[in-house]
Amino acid sequence: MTAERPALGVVLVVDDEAGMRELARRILEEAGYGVIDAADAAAAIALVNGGAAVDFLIADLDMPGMLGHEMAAKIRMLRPGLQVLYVTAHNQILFNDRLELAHGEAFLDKPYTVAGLLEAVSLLKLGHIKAPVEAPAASRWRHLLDAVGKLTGRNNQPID
Amino acid sequence: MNGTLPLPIVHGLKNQLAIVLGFCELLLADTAATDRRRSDIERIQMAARASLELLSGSEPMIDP
Repeated sequence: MTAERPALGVVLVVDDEAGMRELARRILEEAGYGVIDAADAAAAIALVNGGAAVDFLIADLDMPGMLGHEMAAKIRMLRPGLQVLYVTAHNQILFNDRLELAHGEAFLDKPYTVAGLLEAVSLLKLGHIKAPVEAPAASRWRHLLDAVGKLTGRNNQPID
Repeated sequence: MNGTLPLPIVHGLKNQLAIVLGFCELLLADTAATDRRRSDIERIQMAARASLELLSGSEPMIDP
């Protein structure tokens, strides 16, 4: 019997908050993605090590044990090219340590909207962003605009 | 002048408010436009957003 894979791909959601994992799962599954999740970095790395099919990684940055971007670096050693969306209430953690995102990485502030999460994942997948469903806060989209530039090699292009 | 809260507290509260706001949005999406409970959900959203604003005023500044 062949396991059927969701057409839009499988997202690995890693967040130490059960409510955030469940929120991401609800949003992504209703949109047609497959979702697997893990409560910490060790569990996520074990899933990938065990051969779990993963197309995208959504990682909370501020997790106990191992920070999200440290975990993502380890997972990308196992799966080079895996695209990563970081979510956090505090972007200082990322930018203090690394100052900028690597290729194939994007960033989304918490709290995010349903449209914001779906568009950020779509951006990772397609390298472009669809017209926003609602007018988002400018600060929230600065990160996405930066990421669009990185993913497409273009900067400061209008996205509508 | 605003007081400041420790960063882990701010982070934890923002996480919880993100969960509240996210599920409010999902609830509204599943609630008919004529449903009188929409205004109750919107009241929860307003309180959560107001709480976020209070938090942003008490967040410690971190210099690079």
